[in-house]
Amino acid sequence: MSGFHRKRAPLKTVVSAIFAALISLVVLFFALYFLISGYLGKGQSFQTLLLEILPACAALLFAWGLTLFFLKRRVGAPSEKLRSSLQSLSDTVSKGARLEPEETERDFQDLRDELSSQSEKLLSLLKYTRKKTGEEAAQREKNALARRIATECVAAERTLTGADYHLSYKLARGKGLSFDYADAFRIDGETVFFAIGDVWGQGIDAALFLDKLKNGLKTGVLSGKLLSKVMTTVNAQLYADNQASIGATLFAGVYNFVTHELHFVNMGHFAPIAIGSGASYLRVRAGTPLGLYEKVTPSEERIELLEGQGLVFCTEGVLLAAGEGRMLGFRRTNMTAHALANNPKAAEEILKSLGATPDKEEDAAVLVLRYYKEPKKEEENGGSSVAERARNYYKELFSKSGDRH
Amino acid sequence: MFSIAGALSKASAMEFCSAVGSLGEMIKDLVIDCEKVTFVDSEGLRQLVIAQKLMQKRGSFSLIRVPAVLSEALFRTGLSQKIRVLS
Repeated sequence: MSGFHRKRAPLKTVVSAIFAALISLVVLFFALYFLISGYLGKGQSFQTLLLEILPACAALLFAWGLTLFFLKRRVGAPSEKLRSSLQSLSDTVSKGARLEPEETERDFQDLRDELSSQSEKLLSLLKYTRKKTGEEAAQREKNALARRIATECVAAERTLTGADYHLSYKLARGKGLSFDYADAFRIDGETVFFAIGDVWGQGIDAALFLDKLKNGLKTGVLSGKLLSKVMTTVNAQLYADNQASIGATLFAGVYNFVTHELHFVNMGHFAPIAIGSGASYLRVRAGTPLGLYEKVTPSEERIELLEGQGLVFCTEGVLLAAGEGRMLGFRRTNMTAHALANNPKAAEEILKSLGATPDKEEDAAVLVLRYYKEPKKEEENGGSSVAERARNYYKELFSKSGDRH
Repeated sequence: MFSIAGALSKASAMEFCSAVGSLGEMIKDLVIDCEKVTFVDSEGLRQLVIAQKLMQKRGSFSLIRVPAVLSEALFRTGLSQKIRVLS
């Protein structure tokens, strides 16, 4: 690339010079006109007029001369400079072109200014990109941490079975950051506790809320408190410092697998699907979700399951999956639950059948509680009789009396 | 009065939240017209609770023209006892 910079015509200078010349001519004309007309009007002689006007004319002519000199300098000098530049170019063309010194300085200055402005823009863009990338990375880390807390806090599945009952849940964690909750564990030789719920809220706050909920429930239930008291205590724990207004719907129950009594509390969760009772859903009282309000009034209810009856619980993610993103999946969920409730892996099959899989955005959980009408088939239990199975079960249970999950 | 339409869900939660949050301190009583709400999920209900808590500090919060889909969700979750619904 050649370093030679073509000299631009000094258009601005020429225009300003012409303009100055014109102005001085006009001034000269008007001055003479007023002087002559003034003198002649007062009746002065022409000689006096010449004597008084001459110095003024001389001054004006001097000014005009100066203007011409200025014009010559401003217009003529660049032309000479251009000529000398061309001469210089022709002299040095064999050595390679070079920048004319004055132009080089100006061009370098322009280039410096341009580069400086561009670099400022680039730096600010880089700073923004770094900040954004940093924020996104931090957010990704937070999301991953939230998922890890939720995953480690709540087991993905659990099954508790006895001679004539089956309690199991399956939880499919979605890709999103809103978490479902499910839990089941034995309390003593006769009772099991189960719970299922939806956490309202997202991210780390929701994951920590989930952890608090799980531990609060387990502590309360194992201490032998009534479910309604446990809910009140857990609500108070969750409400404290709940700046993000995270909440959770919850259905919690204590099932006695000897008497088949179920004590439960519903804190704003979906009513369970009733199996084998002729009704579609179990009628339950509505309670307020946990953690959102300072005071809740949980109401403990009691039912007795009859042989062949069962309950299927699901979370919002299941209904959304069944309704393909809309809350229209109640009927489909109900039909699927009825069709699959007797399956040994009912919870998992219901989830699969409704398309509530981990590739979905929402978490989804199904919990199934069944009181079998018919004794389990012989082949399912290694060919032993019902009585023998019952004996084995209690023997196993009491041998693990200290093992409360 | 405020009017909401369409889905009150996770997708629209941020919009709803910022709209309520942008209301000046001068506004003491907020009434939300829910006639055009077509869908509500847990996040939508949570946003209503947040709005209610915010407005109750200043004055009052209530819903009017609540469609069946929202009314059912409020009843199921016990929020019908907490959030005022005007007939």
